[in-house]
Amino acid sequence: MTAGTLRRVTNAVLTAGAWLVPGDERRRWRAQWHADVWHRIDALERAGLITAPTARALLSRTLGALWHAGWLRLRGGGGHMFLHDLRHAARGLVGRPGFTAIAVVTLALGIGANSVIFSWIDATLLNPLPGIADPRSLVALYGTERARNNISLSYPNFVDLREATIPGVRSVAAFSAGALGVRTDDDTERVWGAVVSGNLFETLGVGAALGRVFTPDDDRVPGGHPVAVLTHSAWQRRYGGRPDIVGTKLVIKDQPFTIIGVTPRGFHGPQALIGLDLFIPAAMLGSLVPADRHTARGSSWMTALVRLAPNASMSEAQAGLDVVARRLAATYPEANRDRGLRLFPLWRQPSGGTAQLLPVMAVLGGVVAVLLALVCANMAGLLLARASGRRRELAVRVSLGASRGQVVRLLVAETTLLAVVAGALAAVVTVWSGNLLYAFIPPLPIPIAIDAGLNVRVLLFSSAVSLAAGLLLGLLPGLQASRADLVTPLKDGAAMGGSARRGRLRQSLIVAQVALALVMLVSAGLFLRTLVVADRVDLGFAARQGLVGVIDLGSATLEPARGIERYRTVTAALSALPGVEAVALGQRLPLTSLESSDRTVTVEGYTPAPGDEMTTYYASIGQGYFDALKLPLVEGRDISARDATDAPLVVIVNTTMARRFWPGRSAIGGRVKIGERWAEVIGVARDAKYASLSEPATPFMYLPVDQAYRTSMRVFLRTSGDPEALVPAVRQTLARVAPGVPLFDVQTLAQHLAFSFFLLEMAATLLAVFGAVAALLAALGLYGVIAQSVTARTREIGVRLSLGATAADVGRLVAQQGLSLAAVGIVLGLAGAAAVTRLFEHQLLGVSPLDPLAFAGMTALLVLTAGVACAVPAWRAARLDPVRALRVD
Amino acid sequence: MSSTALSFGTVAVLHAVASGYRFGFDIVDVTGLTAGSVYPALDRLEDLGFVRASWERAEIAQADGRPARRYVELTASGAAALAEALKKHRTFQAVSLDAFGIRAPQPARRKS
Repeated sequence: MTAGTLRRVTNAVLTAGAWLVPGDERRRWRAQWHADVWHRIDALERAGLITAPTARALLSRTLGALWHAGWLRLRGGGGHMFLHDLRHAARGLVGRPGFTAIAVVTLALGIGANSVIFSWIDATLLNPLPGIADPRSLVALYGTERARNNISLSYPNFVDLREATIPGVRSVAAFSAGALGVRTDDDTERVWGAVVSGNLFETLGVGAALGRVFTPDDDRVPGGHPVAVLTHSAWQRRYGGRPDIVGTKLVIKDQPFTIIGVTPRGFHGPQALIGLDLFIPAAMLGSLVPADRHTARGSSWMTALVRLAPNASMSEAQAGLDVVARRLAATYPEANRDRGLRLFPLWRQPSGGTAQLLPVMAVLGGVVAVLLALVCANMAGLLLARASGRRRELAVRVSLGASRGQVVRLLVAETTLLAVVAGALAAVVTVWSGNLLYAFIPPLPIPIAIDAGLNVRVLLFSSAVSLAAGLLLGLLPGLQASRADLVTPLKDGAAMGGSARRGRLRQSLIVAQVALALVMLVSAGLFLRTLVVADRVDLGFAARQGLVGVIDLGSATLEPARGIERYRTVTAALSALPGVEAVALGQRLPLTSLESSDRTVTVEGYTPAPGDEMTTYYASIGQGYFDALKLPLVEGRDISARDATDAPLVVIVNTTMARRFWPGRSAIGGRVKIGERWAEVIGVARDAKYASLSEPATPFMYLPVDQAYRTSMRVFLRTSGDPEALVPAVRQTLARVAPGVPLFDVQTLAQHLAFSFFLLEMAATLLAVFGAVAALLAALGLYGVIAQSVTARTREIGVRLSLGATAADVGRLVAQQGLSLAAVGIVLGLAGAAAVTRLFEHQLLGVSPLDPLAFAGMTALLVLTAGVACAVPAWRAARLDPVRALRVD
Repeated sequence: MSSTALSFGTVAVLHAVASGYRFGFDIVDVTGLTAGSVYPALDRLEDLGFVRASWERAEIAQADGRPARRYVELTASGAAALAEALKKHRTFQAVSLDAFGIRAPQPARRKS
């Protein structure tokens, strides 16, 4: 922040605060604060000390000026006046319960929707890691390579970073979360945990509720620290909160670990959105996976977090990391050539659930903001109508000596009171809405942890929104009412519809409501269309019915040869089950979110251009994978028994990868270097969706499990009948042919796929609800204006009728007035929607942001709604008795 | 008005003024109180006649190219009120009175 910006911001605060100060003190207050703030900024600037923390401190001190202003107001007797106004406003509102109820409910809808979505955004993006110290100085670190920016770190690279002294960085910690098989007395339980660097807890600022957490000393000797830390929730859930937990042992893959501590309640680990149960030191990785992950610089598997140095900004730290990245690239060109390091705020992490949630939350946030604007326009219309009705009361007040300021204050007191009551109602809704979020999440094999609901930040946000809405709503009609000639209504005693200016204001508010409602409806329509289309999105594979599970061979010490044998036995036995059409074994299945493995590859005869992405996702698979999933091979052959462990390495690539690296010719026979060894391409498979429905075509390769061994694999059974009915038989078969090998995370294919759809479903559902509310509010607003105008024009209508106009003429006259307003709103709304929907084009899975069906359908819906809203008052006008109408005062 | 009406925060502000801190921001810095309590406290002390507020001379401010600031000074009655208040708020005694030449009261006469 520059001194100039700081001056402008503080000045704005002081200008706003001056309103609060009583007139006789205002000049003094303003000059005093202006000079003091000015002086401080000057001093900071001269010392070169304008940083984010000092700017924040100064800003919070400037906000103290508002307290000072409020204090002056109360001391000046304003407190008494304010209380008086409030009491008066409360009496006025209680006296009109109908108006008050409608106003409170309408406002509560707008404020509530905003608080709820804000609480979700807060829990998922702004504060995704509850329980850590000073979240603002914790950022995520990823590797970059050409176009990619979401690469994990390899262990050796992490160690170099941890040991380096980097300006702006206090510490670098890393972890890798995943499912672990924890042995209980007679069974193996699947538990979500993480291997973490010894300095992780120190970096997060998380201590122990019981025992102790890891220190760097617990992570020095590979294989030498068999210790574990539990989260509070795991301690309660799995161990009943027994107090003697520290010192007990648990067994993961034959390796006993001693529990040394429990983290405090609320902390759910270093991974956003996922509730972990236990942590073990990274040095113990070797006892979990047989791979060379501790030493392979090309194997990226750790997620890194950086704690910034006190008062350091992210850009300072980034500059420091750029230097380290260049050094790493120069020292280890084989693995780190073209690699960079990049910091991200936690909410913008490029991988994991955050990356998928961010666009959805952004759309929801935008929509509720629009809804609030619409609610405010609706309320303003209501208040203007009420102000017209109250002109006589206000005129009396003015003629009795009330100043314009006093009238405005009274109106502001009323709307603020309304907004505060509505805000309280909204807070109640928010408390309950944390569970609403969970209602959208399908059953998942991943423990989702989202701590949404009411907290201090959410409460502050809703209070601010409520107060702003209340002030704004009170000031607008207040100024209008006080500006208008307030004496006229006293003189002629007329209750005509108010000045032309006020009429115009109300009309433009209606136009705005219709336009905003249409924008929201069209957005909802586009998401609903996407949901329909999504069922037909080409997932790349044709299997539609089946069972998905994970089998875990457990022991990392099991020899690969015996493990491969075991996989073969299991596959054969499961294939023999009645009702099973085919069995596939794969490290991952299509649309397995939140898990990925990738490697940097070298392709023989292909020279990467700058910006070319050479990191490719891959999965180990068993024989028959493509057949079981009905994922066709377009060229070459499937892996077979001859691609054994000691045979030459082979790989199957997908169409995108084949086209990229072997353009215009066959990929078969091409060679790819994976790690240290070359593999020959023997087949090309059709593209599939690997992680999410909205992903672009991604290069992908399949390696035979015999040559790329894994201790844990997903198993997919394509079934002919009800997949769920097969579960007992599958478990029995496993127990028979592979005793001790557990089956985890059993889901039907439909459940497996549901995860990819749930964000879309959530967005579509919420948008549809908000859109309906918006349309309803706009219709009510339209109805209100037309109905009131009919009342105001009663005498005119009487004259028309007695001069020979038919009931139909009158009805048409009234309806025309309403529909022409709606038409203007619809035209503006269409233009607005066309401009806005582009923003979430990527979420629409191929549905055009200008989809004619969504635009036309929603426009028709709104026209219909507007028609009903106009028809009622038009009908009433047509039925007026001309004699009575003429007699109306 | 009797000094017994002074709150702890107000006494802290008065103490800071007596120690030679004359500008609002400096008093915020040195007391650790929030600006939202220091400024009202200063106004109140001024109402009570315990401090006297003045504006910097315009020429001085203009020479520096900045707006003139308001500053406060301890008055005689302020010093007396502070001495009285410090008997009550004994936390201050360890650090306080030498700074403006009033001898610390004896920590005798415990009330409880």
